[in-house]
Amino acid sequence: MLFIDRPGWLHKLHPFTKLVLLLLSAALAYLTGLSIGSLSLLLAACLLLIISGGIFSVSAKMVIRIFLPLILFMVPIHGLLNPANTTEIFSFHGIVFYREGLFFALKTLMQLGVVISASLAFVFTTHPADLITAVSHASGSISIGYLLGFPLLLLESMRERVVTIQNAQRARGLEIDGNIFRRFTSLGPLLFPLLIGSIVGIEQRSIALEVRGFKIHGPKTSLRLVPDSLLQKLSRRLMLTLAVILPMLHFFR
Amino acid sequence: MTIRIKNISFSYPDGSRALHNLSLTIETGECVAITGHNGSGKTTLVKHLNGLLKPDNGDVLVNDSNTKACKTGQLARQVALLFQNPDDQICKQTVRDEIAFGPKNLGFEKDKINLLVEVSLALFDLVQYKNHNPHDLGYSERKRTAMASIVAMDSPVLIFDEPTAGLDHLEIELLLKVFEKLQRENKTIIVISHDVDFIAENMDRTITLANGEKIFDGPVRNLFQDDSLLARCGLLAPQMVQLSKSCKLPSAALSPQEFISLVQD
Repeated sequence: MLFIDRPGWLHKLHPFTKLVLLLLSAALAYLTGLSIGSLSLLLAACLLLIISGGIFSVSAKMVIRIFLPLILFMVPIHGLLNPANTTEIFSFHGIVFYREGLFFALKTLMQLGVVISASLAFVFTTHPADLITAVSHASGSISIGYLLGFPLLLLESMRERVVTIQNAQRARGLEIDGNIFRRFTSLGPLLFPLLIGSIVGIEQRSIALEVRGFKIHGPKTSLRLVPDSLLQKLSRRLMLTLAVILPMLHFFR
Repeated sequence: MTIRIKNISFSYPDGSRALHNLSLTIETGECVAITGHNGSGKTTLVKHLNGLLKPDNGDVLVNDSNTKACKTGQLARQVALLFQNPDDQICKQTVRDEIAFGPKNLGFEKDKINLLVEVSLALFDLVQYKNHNPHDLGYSERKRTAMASIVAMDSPVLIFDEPTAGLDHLEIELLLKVFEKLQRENKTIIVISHDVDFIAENMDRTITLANGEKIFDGPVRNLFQDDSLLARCGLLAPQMVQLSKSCKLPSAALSPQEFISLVQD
Protein backbone atom coordinates (compact mmCIF):
# COMPACT_ATOMS: atom_id res chain seq x y z
CA MET A 1 0.00 0.00 0.00
CA LEU A 2 1.44 3.35 -1.02
CA PHE A 3 -0.78 5.33 1.35
CA ILE A 4 1.12 7.40 3.91
CA ASP A 5 -0.82 7.94 7.11
CA ARG A 6 -0.28 11.59 8.04
CA PRO A 7 -2.58 14.38 9.12
CA GLY A 8 -2.96 16.79 6.24
CA TRP A 9 -5.62 18.66 4.31
CA LEU A 10 -4.99 16.53 1.22
CA HIS A 11 -5.61 13.37 3.26
CA LYS A 12 -8.97 14.74 4.39
CA LEU A 13 -10.24 15.41 0.89
CA HIS A 14 -12.78 13.00 -0.57
CA PRO A 15 -11.07 10.45 -2.91
CA PHE A 16 -13.26 11.59 -5.82
CA THR A 17 -12.15 15.21 -5.36
CA LYS A 18 -8.53 14.10 -5.68
CA LEU A 19 -9.37 11.88 -8.65
CA VAL A 20 -11.09 14.73 -10.47
CA LEU A 21 -8.13 16.97 -9.65
CA LEU A 22 -5.88 14.36 -11.25
CA LEU A 23 -8.14 14.20 -14.29
CA LEU A 24 -8.14 18.00 -14.66
CA SER A 25 -4.33 18.13 -14.34
CA ALA A 26 -3.93 15.47 -17.03
CA ALA A 27 -6.45 17.21 -19.31
CA LEU A 28 -4.70 20.57 -18.88
CA ALA A 29 -1.26 19.07 -19.47
CA TYR A 30 -2.08 17.02 -22.53
CA LEU A 31 -5.21 18.34 -24.19
CA THR A 32 -5.10 22.12 -23.98
CA GLY A 33 -1.84 22.82 -25.84
CA LEU A 34 -0.24 24.68 -22.95
CA SER A 35 3.05 26.42 -23.62
CA ILE A 36 6.17 25.53 -21.65
CA GLY A 37 5.61 28.63 -19.51
CA SER A 38 2.03 27.63 -18.63
CA LEU A 39 3.13 24.04 -18.03
CA SER A 40 5.75 25.35 -15.59
CA LEU A 41 2.99 27.13 -13.68
CA LEU A 42 0.87 23.96 -13.65
CA LEU A 43 3.85 21.91 -12.47
CA ALA A 44 4.53 24.47 -9.74
CA ALA A 45 0.88 24.18 -8.63
CA CYS A 46 1.25 20.37 -8.42
CA LEU A 47 4.46 20.81 -6.44
CA LEU A 48 2.69 23.17 -4.07
CA LEU A 49 -0.07 20.58 -3.66
CA ILE A 50 2.48 17.92 -2.72
CA ILE A 51 4.38 20.17 -0.31
CA SER A 52 1.24 21.40 1.44
CA GLY A 53 -0.03 17.81 1.62
CA GLY A 54 3.06 16.81 3.64
CA ILE A 55 4.26 14.20 1.15
CA PHE A 56 7.13 16.08 -0.49
CA SER A 57 10.08 13.93 0.60
CA VAL A 58 8.55 10.60 -0.36
CA SER A 59 7.18 12.01 -3.64
CA ALA A 60 10.55 13.57 -4.52
CA LYS A 61 12.28 10.19 -4.14
CA MET A 62 9.70 8.55 -6.40
CA VAL A 63 9.84 11.35 -9.01
CA ILE A 64 13.65 11.17 -9.16
CA ARG A 65 13.51 7.40 -9.59
CA ILE A 66 11.03 7.73 -12.47
CA PHE A 67 12.46 10.81 -14.16
CA LEU A 68 16.20 10.28 -14.02
CA PRO A 69 16.25 7.47 -16.63
CA LEU A 70 13.64 9.32 -18.72
CA ILE A 71 15.73 12.51 -18.74
CA LEU A 72 18.87 10.56 -19.58
CA PHE A 73 17.19 8.95 -22.60
CA MET A 74 14.80 11.64 -23.86
CA VAL A 75 16.99 14.74 -23.76
CA PRO A 76 19.86 13.39 -25.90
CA ILE A 77 17.60 11.39 -28.25
CA HIS A 78 15.29 14.32 -29.05
CA GLY A 79 18.03 16.93 -28.81
CA LEU A 80 19.99 15.04 -31.46
CA LEU A 81 17.52 13.08 -33.54
CA ASN A 82 14.04 14.66 -33.45
CA PRO A 83 12.77 14.96 -37.08
CA ALA A 84 11.68 18.56 -36.42
CA ASN A 85 15.22 19.63 -35.49
CA THR A 86 16.39 22.68 -37.46
CA THR A 87 17.78 25.32 -35.04
CA GLU A 88 21.21 24.46 -33.74
CA ILE A 89 21.87 25.37 -30.09
CA PHE A 90 25.35 24.00 -29.57
CA SER A 91 27.70 21.37 -30.90
CA PHE A 92 30.24 19.23 -29.12
CA HIS A 93 32.90 17.38 -31.11
CA GLY A 94 30.58 17.27 -34.14
CA ILE A 95 27.53 16.24 -32.13
CA VAL A 96 24.85 18.89 -32.65
CA PHE A 97 22.01 19.60 -30.22
CA TYR A 98 18.89 21.27 -31.61
CA ARG A 99 16.41 23.62 -29.98
CA GLU A 100 13.22 21.94 -31.28
CA GLY A 101 14.12 18.48 -29.99
CA LEU A 102 15.21 19.80 -26.59
CA PHE A 103 11.98 21.79 -26.27
CA PHE A 104 9.94 18.76 -27.25
CA ALA A 105 11.72 16.64 -24.63
CA LEU A 106 11.28 19.34 -22.00
CA LYS A 107 7.57 19.71 -22.76
CA THR A 108 6.98 15.95 -22.69
CA LEU A 109 8.82 15.64 -19.41
CA MET A 110 6.81 18.52 -17.91
CA GLN A 111 3.52 16.98 -19.04
CA LEU A 112 4.57 13.70 -17.48
CA GLY A 113 5.69 15.56 -14.37
CA VAL A 114 2.23 17.11 -13.94
CA VAL A 115 0.42 13.78 -14.30
CA ILE A 116 2.86 11.86 -12.11
CA SER A 117 2.91 14.43 -9.30
CA ALA A 118 -0.91 14.64 -9.31
CA SER A 119 -1.09 10.82 -9.30
CA LEU A 120 1.34 10.62 -6.38
CA ALA A 121 -0.71 13.21 -4.50
CA PHE A 122 -3.68 10.89 -4.98
CA VAL A 123 -2.10 7.51 -4.11
CA PHE A 124 -0.02 8.76 -1.18
CA THR A 125 -2.95 10.49 0.51
CA THR A 126 -5.85 8.12 -0.28
CA HIS A 127 -6.34 4.98 1.77
CA PRO A 128 -7.53 2.19 -0.58
CA ALA A 129 -10.35 1.38 1.86
CA ASP A 130 -11.60 4.98 1.53
CA LEU A 131 -11.58 4.65 -2.25
CA ILE A 132 -13.45 1.32 -2.07
CA THR A 133 -16.02 2.83 0.31
CA ALA A 134 -16.46 5.94 -1.84
CA VAL A 135 -16.89 3.93 -5.06
CA SER A 136 -19.25 1.49 -3.33
CA HIS A 137 -21.42 4.35 -2.06
CA ALA A 138 -21.45 6.10 -5.43
CA SER A 139 -22.10 3.00 -7.53
CA GLY A 140 -24.37 1.24 -5.05
CA SER A 141 -22.29 -1.91 -5.59
CA ILE A 142 -19.64 -3.06 -3.15
CA SER A 143 -18.25 -5.38 -5.85
CA ILE A 144 -17.36 -2.47 -8.14
CA GLY A 145 -15.69 -0.63 -5.25
CA TYR A 146 -13.72 -3.71 -4.33
CA LEU A 147 -12.76 -4.38 -7.95
CA LEU A 148 -11.36 -0.85 -8.37
CA GLY A 149 -9.69 -0.46 -4.99
CA PHE A 150 -8.40 -3.95 -4.38
CA PRO A 151 -5.25 -3.67 -6.56
CA LEU A 152 -4.07 -0.82 -4.31
CA LEU A 153 -4.51 -3.03 -1.23
CA LEU A 154 -2.50 -5.80 -2.89
CA LEU A 155 0.59 -3.75 -3.71
CA GLU A 156 2.23 -4.01 -0.27
CA SER A 157 1.67 -7.75 0.09
CA MET A 158 3.00 -8.31 -3.44
CA ARG A 159 6.10 -6.30 -2.63
CA GLU A 160 6.72 -8.45 0.47
CA ARG A 161 6.13 -11.60 -1.54
CA VAL A 162 8.65 -10.51 -4.18
CA VAL A 163 11.29 -10.21 -1.43
CA THR A 164 10.40 -13.66 -0.03
CA ILE A 165 10.57 -15.25 -3.50
CA GLN A 166 13.91 -13.56 -4.18
CA ASN A 167 15.26 -14.93 -0.89
CA ALA A 168 13.92 -18.43 -1.58
CA GLN A 169 15.56 -18.55 -5.01
CA ARG A 170 18.84 -17.01 -3.82
CA ALA A 171 18.93 -19.70 -1.12
CA ARG A 172 18.88 -22.25 -3.96
CA GLY A 173 21.89 -20.64 -5.61
CA LEU A 174 20.12 -18.33 -8.07
CA GLU A 175 22.23 -15.25 -8.80
CA ILE A 176 19.94 -12.27 -9.21
CA ASP A 177 22.68 -9.61 -9.28
CA GLY A 178 25.30 -9.03 -11.90
CA ASN A 179 25.10 -8.29 -15.63
CA ILE A 180 21.92 -7.69 -17.60
CA PHE A 181 21.92 -11.21 -19.09
CA ARG A 182 22.10 -12.83 -15.65
CA ARG A 183 19.36 -10.56 -14.31
CA PHE A 184 17.21 -11.36 -17.33
CA THR A 185 17.62 -15.12 -16.94
CA SER A 186 16.77 -14.87 -13.23
CA LEU A 187 13.43 -13.20 -14.02
CA GLY A 188 11.57 -16.46 -14.76
CA PRO A 189 12.19 -18.12 -11.37
CA LEU A 190 11.19 -14.85 -9.69
CA LEU A 191 8.11 -13.99 -11.76
CA PHE A 192 6.61 -17.46 -12.10
CA PRO A 193 5.92 -18.04 -8.36
CA LEU A 194 4.67 -14.44 -8.09
CA LEU A 195 2.26 -14.85 -10.99
CA ILE A 196 0.96 -18.26 -9.92
CA GLY A 197 0.72 -17.09 -6.30
CA SER A 198 -1.26 -14.03 -7.36
CA ILE A 199 -3.71 -16.07 -9.42
CA VAL A 200 -4.19 -18.58 -6.59
CA GLY A 201 -4.45 -15.70 -4.11
CA ILE A 202 -7.20 -14.02 -6.14
CA GLU A 203 -9.16 -17.27 -6.29
CA GLN A 204 -8.77 -17.87 -2.55
CA ARG A 205 -9.68 -14.30 -1.69
CA SER A 206 -12.80 -14.40 -3.83
CA ILE A 207 -13.85 -17.65 -2.13
CA ALA A 208 -13.10 -16.11 1.28
CA LEU A 209 -15.30 -13.11 0.36
CA GLU A 210 -18.11 -15.34 -0.88
CA VAL A 211 -18.21 -17.50 2.24
CA ARG A 212 -18.45 -14.37 4.41
CA GLY A 213 -21.52 -13.07 2.62
CA PHE A 214 -19.86 -10.47 0.39
CA LYS A 215 -22.48 -10.76 -2.33
CA ILE A 216 -25.55 -10.85 -0.12
CA HIS A 217 -28.13 -8.37 -1.41
CA GLY A 218 -29.57 -5.76 0.88
CA PRO A 219 -28.27 -2.94 3.09
CA LYS A 220 -24.75 -3.32 4.49
CA THR A 221 -23.11 -1.62 7.44
CA SER A 222 -20.05 0.48 6.72
CA LEU A 223 -17.69 1.17 9.62
CA ARG A 224 -15.64 3.55 7.52
CA LEU A 225 -16.99 7.00 6.83
CA VAL A 226 -15.57 9.05 4.00
CA PRO A 227 -16.44 12.66 4.75
CA ASP A 228 -17.70 14.78 1.88
CA SER A 229 -19.03 18.34 1.72
CA LEU A 230 -21.10 20.56 -0.51
CA LEU A 231 -18.01 22.63 -1.30
CA GLN A 232 -16.15 19.53 -2.44
CA LYS A 233 -19.10 18.34 -4.51
CA LEU A 234 -19.34 21.74 -6.22
CA SER A 235 -15.59 21.96 -6.82
CA ARG A 236 -15.66 18.44 -8.32
CA ARG A 237 -18.36 19.50 -10.76
CA LEU A 238 -16.45 22.65 -11.65
CA MET A 239 -13.20 20.76 -12.21
CA LEU A 240 -14.96 18.10 -14.30
CA THR A 241 -16.58 20.80 -16.42
CA LEU A 242 -13.20 22.49 -16.93
CA ALA A 243 -11.58 19.15 -17.78
CA VAL A 244 -14.15 18.71 -20.57
CA ILE A 245 -14.58 22.30 -21.80
CA LEU A 246 -10.95 23.48 -21.91
CA PRO A 247 -9.74 20.71 -24.25
CA MET A 248 -12.83 21.27 -26.42
CA LEU A 249 -12.12 25.00 -26.63
CA HIS A 250 -8.55 24.24 -27.62
CA PHE A 251 -9.69 21.69 -30.19
CA PHE A 252 -12.21 23.98 -31.89
CA ARG A 253 -10.10 27.13 -31.71
CA MET B 1 30.97 -27.80 8.56
CA THR B 2 30.87 -25.72 11.72
CA ILE B 3 28.70 -22.64 12.02
CA ARG B 4 29.85 -20.02 14.52
CA ILE B 5 27.67 -17.07 15.36
CA LYS B 6 29.49 -14.41 17.35
CA ASN B 7 27.56 -11.67 19.15
CA ILE B 8 25.30 -10.82 16.23
CA SER B 9 22.66 -8.13 16.37
CA PHE B 10 20.27 -7.23 13.60
CA SER B 11 17.52 -4.68 13.09
CA TYR B 12 15.24 -4.37 10.07
CA PRO B 13 15.20 -1.10 8.08
CA ASP B 14 12.00 -0.02 9.88
CA GLY B 15 14.01 -0.05 13.14
CA SER B 16 12.47 -3.17 14.69
CA ARG B 17 15.12 -5.15 16.56
CA ALA B 18 15.12 -8.78 15.45
CA LEU B 19 18.30 -10.22 17.04
CA HIS B 20 20.34 -8.98 19.95
CA ASN B 21 23.85 -10.04 20.92
CA LEU B 22 23.32 -13.65 19.95
CA SER B 23 26.11 -16.23 19.98
CA LEU B 24 26.08 -19.95 19.32
CA THR B 25 27.97 -22.72 17.59
CA ILE B 26 26.52 -25.59 15.58
CA GLU B 27 28.89 -28.46 14.91
CA THR B 28 28.97 -30.84 11.95
CA GLY B 29 26.29 -33.52 12.00
CA GLU B 30 24.18 -31.95 14.73
CA CYS B 31 20.39 -32.07 14.60
CA VAL B 32 19.21 -28.78 16.07
CA ALA B 33 15.77 -27.30 16.59
CA ILE B 34 15.27 -23.57 16.75
CA THR B 35 12.10 -22.64 18.52
CA GLY B 36 10.38 -19.68 20.12
CA HIS B 37 7.22 -17.61 19.87
CA ASN B 38 6.16 -15.88 16.63
CA GLY B 39 8.41 -12.92 15.96
CA SER B 40 11.15 -14.22 18.26
CA GLY B 41 13.76 -14.02 15.48
CA LYS B 42 14.00 -17.65 14.34
CA THR B 43 13.70 -17.04 10.61
CA THR B 44 15.83 -13.90 10.84
CA LEU B 45 18.54 -15.98 12.52
CA VAL B 46 18.63 -18.69 9.84
CA LYS B 47 18.63 -16.09 7.07
CA HIS B 48 21.99 -15.02 8.51
CA LEU B 49 23.40 -18.50 8.04
CA ASN B 50 23.29 -18.36 4.23
CA GLY B 51 23.94 -14.65 3.86
CA LEU B 52 20.42 -13.57 2.98
CA LEU B 53 20.83 -11.14 5.85
CA LYS B 54 24.09 -9.72 7.16
CA PRO B 55 24.39 -8.83 10.84
CA ASP B 56 24.60 -5.18 11.91
CA ASN B 57 27.14 -6.22 14.54
CA GLY B 58 29.05 -9.42 15.10
CA ASP B 59 29.96 -12.18 12.67
CA VAL B 60 28.55 -15.37 11.22
CA LEU B 61 31.23 -17.85 10.23
CA VAL B 62 30.34 -20.79 8.03
CA ASN B 63 33.32 -23.11 8.01
CA ASP B 64 35.49 -20.13 9.03
CA SER B 65 34.20 -18.01 6.11
CA ASN B 66 32.55 -14.80 7.20
CA THR B 67 29.13 -14.49 5.55
CA LYS B 68 29.69 -10.74 5.22
CA ALA B 69 32.27 -11.51 2.54
CA CYS B 70 30.17 -14.11 0.70
CA LYS B 71 27.19 -13.97 -1.63
CA THR B 72 24.12 -16.08 -0.89
CA GLY B 73 24.69 -17.96 -4.16
CA GLN B 74 28.16 -19.02 -2.94
CA LEU B 75 26.87 -19.92 0.52
CA ALA B 76 24.09 -22.06 -0.97
CA ARG B 77 26.77 -24.69 -1.62
CA GLN B 78 27.33 -24.89 2.13
CA VAL B 79 23.92 -24.01 3.58
CA ALA B 80 20.59 -24.86 1.91
CA LEU B 81 17.47 -23.21 3.27
CA LEU B 82 13.90 -24.37 2.80
CA PHE B 83 11.33 -21.61 3.16
CA GLN B 84 8.06 -22.21 4.94
CA ASN B 85 5.77 -21.74 1.95
CA PRO B 86 6.64 -24.05 -0.97
CA ASP B 87 4.80 -21.77 -3.38
CA ASP B 88 7.42 -19.08 -2.80
CA GLN B 89 10.02 -21.16 -4.61
CA ILE B 90 8.29 -23.43 -7.13
CA CYS B 91 9.11 -22.03 -10.56
CA LYS B 92 9.41 -25.00 -12.90
CA GLN B 93 6.88 -26.92 -14.97
CA THR B 94 7.67 -30.40 -13.63
CA VAL B 95 8.55 -31.78 -10.22
CA ARG B 96 11.77 -33.16 -11.69
CA ASP B 97 12.88 -29.79 -13.09
CA GLU B 98 11.97 -28.10 -9.83
CA ILE B 99 14.19 -30.48 -7.87
CA ALA B 100 17.00 -30.02 -10.40
CA PHE B 101 16.81 -26.21 -10.14
CA GLY B 102 19.18 -25.84 -7.15
CA PRO B 103 21.82 -28.36 -8.33
CA LYS B 104 21.85 -26.68 -11.77
CA ASN B 105 22.42 -23.28 -10.16
CA LEU B 106 25.33 -24.76 -8.23
CA GLY B 107 26.87 -25.94 -11.49
CA PHE B 108 26.95 -29.67 -10.75
CA GLU B 109 27.74 -32.15 -13.53
CA LYS B 110 24.76 -33.52 -15.44
CA ASP B 111 25.21 -37.08 -14.14
CA LYS B 112 25.45 -35.86 -10.57
CA ILE B 113 22.29 -33.77 -11.00
CA ASN B 114 20.40 -36.75 -12.42
CA LEU B 115 21.52 -38.92 -9.52
CA LEU B 116 20.66 -36.31 -6.86
CA VAL B 117 17.24 -35.72 -8.41
CA GLU B 118 16.42 -39.43 -8.59
CA VAL B 119 17.50 -39.96 -4.98
CA SER B 120 15.49 -36.97 -3.77
CA LEU B 121 12.40 -38.07 -5.72
CA ALA B 122 12.62 -41.48 -4.08
CA LEU B 123 13.32 -40.10 -0.60
CA PHE B 124 10.21 -37.92 -0.66
CA ASP B 125 8.03 -40.48 -2.43
CA LEU B 126 7.59 -38.26 -5.46
CA VAL B 127 8.66 -40.66 -8.23
CA GLN B 128 5.09 -41.05 -9.53
CA TYR B 129 4.76 -37.24 -9.76
CA LYS B 130 8.10 -36.49 -11.39
CA ASN B 131 6.58 -35.34 -14.68
CA HIS B 132 3.61 -33.56 -13.09
CA ASN B 133 3.37 -29.80 -12.87
CA PRO B 134 3.96 -29.01 -9.15
CA HIS B 135 1.06 -26.56 -9.21
CA ASP B 136 -1.31 -29.36 -10.15
CA LEU B 137 -0.37 -31.22 -6.96
CA GLY B 138 -1.75 -30.85 -3.45
CA TYR B 139 -0.08 -28.78 -0.75
CA SER B 140 1.76 -31.66 0.90
CA GLU B 141 3.18 -32.86 -2.44
CA ARG B 142 4.32 -29.32 -3.22
CA LYS B 143 5.89 -29.11 0.24
CA ARG B 144 7.70 -32.40 -0.33
CA THR B 145 8.83 -31.16 -3.75
CA ALA B 146 10.28 -28.05 -2.13
CA MET B 147 12.03 -30.15 0.53
CA ALA B 148 13.37 -32.55 -2.12
CA SER B 149 14.76 -29.59 -4.07
CA ILE B 150 16.71 -28.51 -0.98
CA VAL B 151 18.01 -32.00 -0.21
CA ALA B 152 19.10 -32.38 -3.86
CA MET B 153 21.50 -29.46 -3.43
CA ASP B 154 23.71 -31.82 -1.42
CA SER B 155 24.77 -29.02 0.94
CA PRO B 156 26.44 -30.05 4.21
CA VAL B 157 24.01 -27.89 6.21
CA LEU B 158 20.26 -28.06 5.64
CA ILE B 159 17.80 -25.67 7.23
CA PHE B 160 14.08 -26.45 7.21
CA ASP B 161 11.61 -23.73 8.19
CA GLU B 162 8.49 -25.38 9.62
CA PRO B 163 8.96 -28.66 7.69
CA THR B 164 6.04 -30.44 9.35
CA ALA B 165 3.44 -27.74 8.62
CA GLY B 166 0.76 -29.16 6.34
CA LEU B 167 2.09 -32.73 6.45
CA ASP B 168 0.16 -35.71 7.81
CA HIS B 169 1.76 -38.23 10.17
CA LEU B 170 2.85 -40.57 7.34
CA GLU B 171 4.57 -37.72 5.57
CA ILE B 172 6.23 -36.66 8.83
CA GLU B 173 7.53 -40.22 9.22
CA LEU B 174 8.89 -39.96 5.68
CA LEU B 175 10.61 -36.72 6.61
CA LEU B 176 12.15 -38.37 9.67
CA LYS B 177 13.57 -41.12 7.48
CA VAL B 178 15.13 -38.42 5.29
CA PHE B 179 16.60 -36.80 8.41
CA GLU B 180 18.05 -40.17 9.49
CA LYS B 181 19.69 -40.60 6.08
CA LEU B 182 21.07 -37.07 6.14
CA GLN B 183 22.49 -37.64 9.62
CA ARG B 184 24.15 -40.86 8.47
CA GLU B 185 25.83 -38.71 5.81
CA ASN B 186 27.03 -36.43 8.65
CA LYS B 187 25.01 -33.48 7.41
CA THR B 188 23.91 -30.78 9.82
CA ILE B 189 20.14 -30.39 10.15
CA ILE B 190 18.57 -27.23 11.53
CA VAL B 191 14.81 -27.18 11.97
CA ILE B 192 12.66 -24.19 12.82
CA SER B 193 9.44 -25.43 14.32
CA HIS B 194 6.54 -24.69 16.64
CA ASP B 195 5.74 -28.39 16.73
CA VAL B 196 6.97 -29.23 20.26
CA ASP B 197 5.97 -32.90 19.99
CA PHE B 198 8.07 -33.26 16.84
CA ILE B 199 11.02 -31.50 18.48
CA ALA B 200 10.75 -33.54 21.69
CA GLU B 201 10.72 -36.84 19.87
CA ASN B 202 13.27 -36.18 17.16
CA MET B 203 15.74 -33.43 17.94
CA ASP B 204 18.91 -33.60 20.05
CA ARG B 205 19.41 -29.96 20.86
CA THR B 206 17.14 -26.96 21.06
CA ILE B 207 17.98 -23.30 20.70
CA THR B 208 15.17 -21.16 22.02
CA LEU B 209 14.72 -17.52 21.16
CA ALA B 210 12.53 -14.86 22.72
CA ASN B 211 12.43 -11.27 21.48
CA GLY B 212 15.60 -11.76 19.45
CA GLU B 213 17.66 -13.15 22.32
CA LYS B 214 18.82 -16.69 23.00
CA ILE B 215 17.27 -17.83 26.24
CA PHE B 216 18.03 -21.53 26.05
CA ASP B 217 20.55 -23.71 24.28
CA GLY B 218 20.86 -27.32 25.30
CA PRO B 219 19.31 -30.79 25.32
CA VAL B 220 15.63 -30.89 24.40
CA ARG B 221 14.75 -32.62 27.68
CA ASN B 222 16.07 -29.74 29.79
CA LEU B 223 13.86 -27.24 27.99
CA PHE B 224 10.64 -29.23 28.15
CA GLN B 225 11.02 -30.06 31.85
CA ASP B 226 11.39 -26.42 32.84
CA ASP B 227 7.91 -24.86 33.10
CA SER B 228 9.11 -21.34 33.82
CA LEU B 229 11.44 -21.42 30.82
CA LEU B 230 8.64 -22.71 28.60
CA ALA B 231 6.40 -19.88 29.79
CA ARG B 232 9.13 -17.34 28.96
CA CYS B 233 9.40 -18.79 25.45
CA GLY B 234 5.64 -18.84 24.95
CA LEU B 235 5.74 -22.61 24.42
CA LEU B 236 3.59 -25.44 25.74
CA ALA B 237 5.21 -28.66 26.97
CA PRO B 238 4.82 -31.62 24.58
CA GLN B 239 1.83 -33.86 25.21
CA MET B 240 3.97 -36.71 26.55
CA VAL B 241 5.65 -34.37 29.06
CA GLN B 242 2.25 -33.08 30.19
CA LEU B 243 0.94 -36.62 30.49
CA SER B 244 4.01 -37.71 32.47
CA LYS B 245 3.45 -34.85 34.92
CA SER B 246 -0.25 -35.61 35.25
CA CYS B 247 0.59 -39.23 35.98
CA LYS B 248 3.24 -38.07 38.48
CA LEU B 249 5.92 -40.15 36.80
CA PRO B 250 9.45 -39.76 38.23
CA SER B 251 10.65 -38.06 35.03
CA ALA B 252 9.09 -36.57 31.93
CA ALA B 253 8.80 -38.75 28.84
CA LEU B 254 9.51 -37.14 25.48
CA SER B 255 7.98 -39.86 23.33
CA PRO B 256 5.19 -42.46 23.63
CA GLN B 257 7.80 -45.26 23.79
CA GLU B 258 9.58 -43.51 26.65
CA PHE B 259 6.26 -42.97 28.42
CA ILE B 260 5.39 -46.68 28.17
CA SER B 261 8.76 -47.76 29.53
CA LEU B 262 8.46 -45.28 32.42
CA VAL B 263 4.99 -46.60 33.27
CA GLN B 264 6.21 -50.19 33.05
CA ASP B 265 9.12 -49.37 35.38
